[in-house]
Amino acid sequence: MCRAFCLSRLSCKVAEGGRGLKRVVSVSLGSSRRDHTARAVLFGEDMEVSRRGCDGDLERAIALVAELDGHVDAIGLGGLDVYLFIRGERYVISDGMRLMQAASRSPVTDGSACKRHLEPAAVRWLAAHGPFPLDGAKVLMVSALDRFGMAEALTEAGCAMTYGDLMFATGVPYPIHSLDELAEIARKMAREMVKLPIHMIYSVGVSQEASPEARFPEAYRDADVIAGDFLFIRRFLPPDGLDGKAVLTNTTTAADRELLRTLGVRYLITTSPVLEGRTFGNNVMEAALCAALNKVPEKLTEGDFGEALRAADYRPAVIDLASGEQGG
Amino acid sequence: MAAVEEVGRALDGFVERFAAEPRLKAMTAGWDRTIEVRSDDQGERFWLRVEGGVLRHLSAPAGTPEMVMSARSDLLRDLFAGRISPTEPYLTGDLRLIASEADIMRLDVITLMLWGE
Repeated sequence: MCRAFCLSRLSCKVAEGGRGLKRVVSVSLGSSRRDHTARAVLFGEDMEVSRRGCDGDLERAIALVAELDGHVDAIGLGGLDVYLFIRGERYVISDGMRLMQAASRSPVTDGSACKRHLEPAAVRWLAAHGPFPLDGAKVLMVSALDRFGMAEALTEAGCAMTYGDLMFATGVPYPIHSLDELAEIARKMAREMVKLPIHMIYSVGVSQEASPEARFPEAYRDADVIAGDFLFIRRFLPPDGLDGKAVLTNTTTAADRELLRTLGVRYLITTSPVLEGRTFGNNVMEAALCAALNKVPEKLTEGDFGEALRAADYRPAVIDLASGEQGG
Repeated sequence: MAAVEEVGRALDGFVERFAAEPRLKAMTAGWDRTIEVRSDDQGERFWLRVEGGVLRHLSAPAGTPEMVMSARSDLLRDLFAGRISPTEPYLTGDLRLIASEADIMRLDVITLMLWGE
């Protein structure tokens, strides 16, 4: 039986002969060159997890979601968000919703619930057990509106925060240093920004693989910890000045880890747990939980995530890039 | 169709609102641009200039405009008066912008800082 993420009640179900292999497909707006299929036991269920990249083509992604609908146990959406949750307000990204609505039978997840529950837990673990003190650390979050829960948790941990949403998403040279101002600006902007075409909001398709182009390098250099979506962090990475820093993000590839190592980054902390030697994106984790519990994402509760995290003795993965040692 | 004066007054009001939001000075630092505003149905042109974090309504263009915005006069009046947001008319094509995507995004941010909820 798997060690990680085995919910006790689900483990029992498998032991009694559950209905067998469950299929979860992550439809991504990223490159199709990173497509893969893996088998893993997630949340006590034997699962086949596939990634299908659509190279930034939203219409292709919509067609793929429609094609998979009803033929897989859950669909995750990668490379974009559908929902942004900011202090009790929910904002819906129009193009993301088009993608979600292409399915009516299989549950579709964007990973936002996972971000709300798993990422703050990762920060709390890091504050208590991490390899460096978070209290007083200078943290640059390249994007916080898509992971407000992480922003709140880092603030609670005593970090000196810089939220780079305006800087990195819009090029506006305005660092935000308080959660209150971040929420205020989000209220002004989010309702309109979510209507923009997806390529104006997110890096999609081959642009995800372009060489980094430094933007506001001083903000990176001034931080002890650089946090947020890795595609966003990577896109604007400066070529130097990152010695000894930590990167706190969701998922990375081996190439990403090598890039950070060559730039001198000391610690890489990924909030996605390592399950059977792999990490899975938030959308996949959430889709897998839906599939395991036979729930639609709207019915997933904080308790579902809490039980899953406790059952797995959840902790983020901490990699010392200098030594190659992995903890967490 | 709006009167020419109505569009002009809306632009003046926009300039006043801009000056009253101190954060916009920082947000437009290093972003010096001339914006030509074309009122399609009136055949009129207006100019805004951002320089050194200050926005002015000009009576004549200052050099070649980096951004050109065009729409019906009533839409321009309502947009600069904050009655409507730019996003939807931009997406429907009622509001047209000739500018880099980065400049369009910056202008969107400025407008939303002034008129967002």
